[in-house]
Amino acid sequence: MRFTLMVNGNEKTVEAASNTPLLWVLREHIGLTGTKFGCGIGMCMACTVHLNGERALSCQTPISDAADQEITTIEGLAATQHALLGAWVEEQVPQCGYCQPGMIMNAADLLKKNENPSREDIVTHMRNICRCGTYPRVIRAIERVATELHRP
Amino acid sequence: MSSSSDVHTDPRISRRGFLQAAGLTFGFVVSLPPRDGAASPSTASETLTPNIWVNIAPDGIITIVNPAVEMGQGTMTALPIIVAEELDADWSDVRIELSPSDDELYGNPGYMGIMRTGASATLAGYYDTLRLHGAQARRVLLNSAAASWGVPVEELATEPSVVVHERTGRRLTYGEVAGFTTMPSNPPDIEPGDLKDPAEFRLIGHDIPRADIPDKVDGTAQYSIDVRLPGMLYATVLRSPVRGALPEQVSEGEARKIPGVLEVVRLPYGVGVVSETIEGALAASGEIEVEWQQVEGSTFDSDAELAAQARRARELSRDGASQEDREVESALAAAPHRYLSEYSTEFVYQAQMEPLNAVAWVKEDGQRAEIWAGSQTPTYLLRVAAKTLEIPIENITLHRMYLGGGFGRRSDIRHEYVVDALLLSREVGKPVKLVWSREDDVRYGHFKPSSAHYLQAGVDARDRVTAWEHRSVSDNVQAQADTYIRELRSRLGPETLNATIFSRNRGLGRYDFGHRRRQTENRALPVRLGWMRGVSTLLNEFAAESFIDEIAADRGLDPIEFRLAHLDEPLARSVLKTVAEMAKWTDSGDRALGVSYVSSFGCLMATVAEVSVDRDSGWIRVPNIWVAVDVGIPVQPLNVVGQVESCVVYALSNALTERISFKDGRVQQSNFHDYPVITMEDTPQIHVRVARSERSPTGVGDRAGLGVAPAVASAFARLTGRRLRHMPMIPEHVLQALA
Repeated sequence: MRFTLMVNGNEKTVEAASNTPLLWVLREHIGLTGTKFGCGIGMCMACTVHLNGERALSCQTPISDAADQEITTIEGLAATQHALLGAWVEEQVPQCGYCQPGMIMNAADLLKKNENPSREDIVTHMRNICRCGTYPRVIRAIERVATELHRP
Repeated sequence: MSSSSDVHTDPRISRRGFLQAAGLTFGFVVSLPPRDGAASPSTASETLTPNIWVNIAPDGIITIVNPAVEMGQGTMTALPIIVAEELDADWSDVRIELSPSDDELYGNPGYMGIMRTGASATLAGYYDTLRLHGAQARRVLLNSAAASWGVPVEELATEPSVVVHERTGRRLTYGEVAGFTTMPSNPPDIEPGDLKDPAEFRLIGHDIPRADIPDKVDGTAQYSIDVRLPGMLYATVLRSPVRGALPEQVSEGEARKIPGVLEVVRLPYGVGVVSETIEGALAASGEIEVEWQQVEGSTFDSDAELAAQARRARELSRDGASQEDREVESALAAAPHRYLSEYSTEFVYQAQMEPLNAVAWVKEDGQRAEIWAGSQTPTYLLRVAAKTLEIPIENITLHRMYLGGGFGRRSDIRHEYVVDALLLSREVGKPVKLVWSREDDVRYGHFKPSSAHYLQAGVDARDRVTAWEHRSVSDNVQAQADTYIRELRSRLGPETLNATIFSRNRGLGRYDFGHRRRQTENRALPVRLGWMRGVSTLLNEFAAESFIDEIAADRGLDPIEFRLAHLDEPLARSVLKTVAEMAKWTDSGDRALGVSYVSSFGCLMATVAEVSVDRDSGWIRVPNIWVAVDVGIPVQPLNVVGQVESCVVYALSNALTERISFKDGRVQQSNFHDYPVITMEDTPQIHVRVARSERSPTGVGDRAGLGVAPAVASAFARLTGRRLRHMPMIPEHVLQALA
């Protein structure tokens, strides 16, 4: 089937079966490989993107559910110079880096809903798996952005 | 190696490389900040190549190669920094490339001369040679500038990327010198005395932002799974769920009817699917059913194996076999206090975040190949690829990519995911991206084997350990995972072997336990096994350090004081005292703290864990962990802290939740729902102190979690009076212990 997607503000037309996970459409059909495959069952959150501004697990989202909707990937978020990217560099968060795009996309979703999250809010929202154990620095990077947002 | 074509779409990834002229091919370029404009690699043509590690272009761009793999541990920055330090380069002039995959040129001198990134051997192994070559490159520039100015070279000095003649005030940038310098036919000799005084270091020991991080936050970092080539197809493979079983019957089901599917390919060991789309390949492999041979491993049961290992550990004895044995036995017999305890651990899985995958392109009727892969052992990969295709290694180009985690899974010799990709690409004559699903990654995993430990100690009337015996039964991973090392060891002389980082610090900071005996038995298990972070040391230390805690507790002694009483090494005493101070050990009050001390390959660490337990669920909570670590000179201190945090999280996850089990030879777990790993919620506040040291750097990325499990188990014992002698310490076992 033919689907039209709005990805990072660009219209993309894709030919794929309607149950194809958005993950593969983004990565292999469109070539936006910043969104990562980690588990395929919606547990590791490496595939996190935004669908109409809300976090979505692209490995659990069939293309038919994403058609004609606003999709943002890490590439799109990076293009907006989102403060999280700078904070991630400042705090030297990534190690292997593989899970980090999903981590940042999820953090952006958190900050959109809650500009000043407590540590508890952060760890409850951020269920992403990072085997390098960058969790302490992820928390610091999110707190850094939250603090900047609240600087008078 | 052959040169490769430009197929990447990312402009920062280039096929350029100054050593191409010498017949070598580079991986990709990492640009250092600033990333725009100046960050692009030099395009100057007349570049100076003082040695295989560094290149200086007339425009001032200095390119340094990294022989190691970047899998998160920071080699992409820490190794080039060592060269840049002795070269006295301005770090902002430096660009970093991955080296070609060639043991002769780039093998780790501390690892038997092979290009292997693992076992915390990288920084320790390359440190001296990178310093010497950095200094050599600087000397080439100095000699050339001295000749040009007609002054004695002794009168020259350098400032970052500038040669200076102070007496006359003349200055030349490194780029300017490179522009007129012809490499002498005999590169200057450099001796250790020519190196910088560490007190003058500007880069080593000073935190530099990691070179790989900018690309890792905006999604542009390239892992092999991200490679896309024109005309590339996708593939999946069904391999035997039981080690060594071959397919007997294959039912393709509706596999060929799935849109995009082009081929279902019989392989000697399984079945491959090639498709125009990845979703097609994944769906088709779900259609295929294979009946596998019955083999030795088809009846393997991990619970039965655990019981057998424990039994063997009890039986293992070489009573009176040697003078040493008789001494241990008589010391045990003579001791007024005798202790005996048994520990065990289960199989575990690396669970690196990027499932195994490779892109292969077999060309020219199978005579040439290009491979994109993330491997901790790229030269092993080349050997396996050459053997698979039966072509010379020279006909294969390997593009080393970032690794989405290694943890040992990508370090063994087999590289079966590369074999899959090569065979399927050869079959279809096109580039193929082979992807293992997470389920494949678990099902075909190479696990850390289970282990059983039997420990005895004798303690005298003054509370000194006078006899110590540790027997362990497990499997020798090397027999499966590292056959090449075995060959190599038999070829190499004692000089090379003694230079390994494993030999260098042997015995450093070891307890003085009087008479000791260490016995091991390897059981050649019929399941797939491989390397994993912390290797067997992690299991052995869980047993040994927990046992020490048991003895101290029974004698009513403080476990830190008890350890200190058996440690003379000042570095060891220092990390223990430091961690005690950090965790406010003496004021512990009602907090349950547990401690451990480990020395491994020159890396010394003391760990304190704070533990509470939910007595309803049996879940252990670890709100705080303190680690004092001595890694020698911390080349990148902040990165060392990051590696300690990483090791602690990984080891805590191993300790609390992770286990692989087998029934009928098949792995019972399949993905993160039944192989849970800890997330942010269960991550402690991790407090790290890195010792200021002038010792040569040791490793940290494989090591720093070795003390976590025993510290947690000991804290649990202090809290509850019950011992957890089995890892993982899952709620089920915790509830049993508390019952």
